[in-house]
Amino acid sequence: MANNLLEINDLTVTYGDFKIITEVSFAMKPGEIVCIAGESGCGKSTLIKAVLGIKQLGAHIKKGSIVLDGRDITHLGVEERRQILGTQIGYVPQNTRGSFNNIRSYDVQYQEAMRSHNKKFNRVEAIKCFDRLNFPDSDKLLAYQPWEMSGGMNQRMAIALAVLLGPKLMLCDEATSVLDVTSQKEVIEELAKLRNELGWSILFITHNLGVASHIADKLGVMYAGRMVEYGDIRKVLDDPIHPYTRKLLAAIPGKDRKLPVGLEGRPPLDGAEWEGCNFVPRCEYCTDSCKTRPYKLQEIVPGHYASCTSGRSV
Amino acid sequence: MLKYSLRRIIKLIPVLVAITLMVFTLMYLTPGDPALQKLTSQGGAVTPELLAMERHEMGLDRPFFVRYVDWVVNVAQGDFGNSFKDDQPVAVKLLKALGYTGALAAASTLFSVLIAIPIGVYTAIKKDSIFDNIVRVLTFTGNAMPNFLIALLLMFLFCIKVKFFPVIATASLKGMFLPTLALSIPMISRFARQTRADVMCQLSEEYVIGMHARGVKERIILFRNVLHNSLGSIITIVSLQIRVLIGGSVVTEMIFRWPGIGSLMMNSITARDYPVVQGAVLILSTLQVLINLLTDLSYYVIDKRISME
Repeated sequence: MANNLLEINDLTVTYGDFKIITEVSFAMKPGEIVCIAGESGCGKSTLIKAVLGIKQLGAHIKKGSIVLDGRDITHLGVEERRQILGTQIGYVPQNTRGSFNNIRSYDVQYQEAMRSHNKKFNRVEAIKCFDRLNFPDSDKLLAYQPWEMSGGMNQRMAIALAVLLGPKLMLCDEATSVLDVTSQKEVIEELAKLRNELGWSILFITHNLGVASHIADKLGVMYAGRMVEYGDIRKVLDDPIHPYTRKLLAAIPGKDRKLPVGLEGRPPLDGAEWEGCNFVPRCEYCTDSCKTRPYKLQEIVPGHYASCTSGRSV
Repeated sequence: MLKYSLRRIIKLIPVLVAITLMVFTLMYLTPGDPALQKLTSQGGAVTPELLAMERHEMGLDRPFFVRYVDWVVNVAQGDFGNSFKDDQPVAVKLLKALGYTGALAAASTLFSVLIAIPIGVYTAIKKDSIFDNIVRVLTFTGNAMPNFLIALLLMFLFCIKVKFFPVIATASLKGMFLPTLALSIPMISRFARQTRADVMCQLSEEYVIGMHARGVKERIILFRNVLHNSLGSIITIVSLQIRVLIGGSVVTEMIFRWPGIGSLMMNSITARDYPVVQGAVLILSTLQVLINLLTDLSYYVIDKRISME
């Protein structure tokens, strides 16, 4: 669709011969925040790696396409891809030390990023950006080296650099998962503010459905390499369709000093290779047909998609 | 930086005092009478009176501590005494030999660094390529071969077969070439392997992906970041190697008859020329300490976290 900023069509991604993601499709509109949730190993981060397309990450797109603002970026050359990374696609990794070289000042690293895209680096403008994001001691920050900063501050410096580079799409790979609650709140609020002010679209990978419910417009739930449910965040959280989503929501820890319910068993390691539903071994509603019926994400109610409705009356 | 440097320099003072004390004590305890040695080397009969007079003149009859302080004061003024062998000032002899060794050390280190670092970086990027495999075999071989064997092979090839260089090295650029090459081959092997390992390690760091993800140019990532972060261990191995070279690559210098500090020390030990040996050991130990200091300071320039020690 023409008014989508990002379209993921039928995407299948492998690491070598090992299939991680199978036939994932969804689209993001400009200014939209989409959260992708799911257990570890379900392919959430691989999805981000596929969009980034950096060859060192090893994610190989076997099938499908990625379209950014009307341009197919699935198989761009190294230099073409470098030109869109930073300026059209921003990235905040999970590791708070993963954005910057730990022993060189932010100043030189900001300069290097800007100059790589033939943009002039202006310190005054950078400090204004820090002020806009309410960073403390904004006039001194550039002189610091990342090891002198907290993890949260490092993430915020990465976001500030993205503001200067001006991408349309931000990819956040569990960007708040290792932060304390205060830093989490700051980063989330910053991202929401930048979406409102700059119209950023944000693809946010998270385990934390609380964070997702606060920031996201849409929520995608992945299981063993497949998108099993996708839709408006309120609809997915209030009325989950897929049996896995229901179990995932039931597993959110409460304040009752009890362990979360959790899910019995583990996702199959070769889940993405399965023809039929790969949630079968853990699903209490599965029937014989589930094992053979091909995977397909269907629109169950308008704007709310799921690959299975077992155990739920629609 | 200044504060860190000052702190490091202050820490050196006790080390330098310990060095002078050890060098002086070692020479003091060495068997043999320097006065007798000197008189014997001058020829003629040595009577007990003459020996006593010479010992008094040389100050050997004074207490240990007085002699030590005297020696340190003289050394601080550049007076290392005179050689027993030819009565030449030791400082002049040392300076001359150090010049030769320094030139050889500088040339071979510079040559090795200029060749090895690009090779190390390239093989790290092109890991497991044909070039990487060839370099791996060559560096294994270069690392495993002892210096004297390389020196003899080079001499056989370039001086006897091709006859391009003289067998006895002259103090000229041409004369320096073979000793430099003999010292450089193992160094290139070591530096290239170390650089390859460090660069590969850095390339797997997450910040490299972070930089790629914001479209930073490859050469900036590689030369301003990856290489910068690898420099610590490269400097360590280069500095260790320089210390070996400054200490005198005795065998190489002897094979090529290069009049450096290694040759001078060997000849002085054989001739029991104690003032020269004493001066050489002192100068070399001091140089080792100073190279250590420079290495530490360069670590700080690369990584400020060092100052938090």
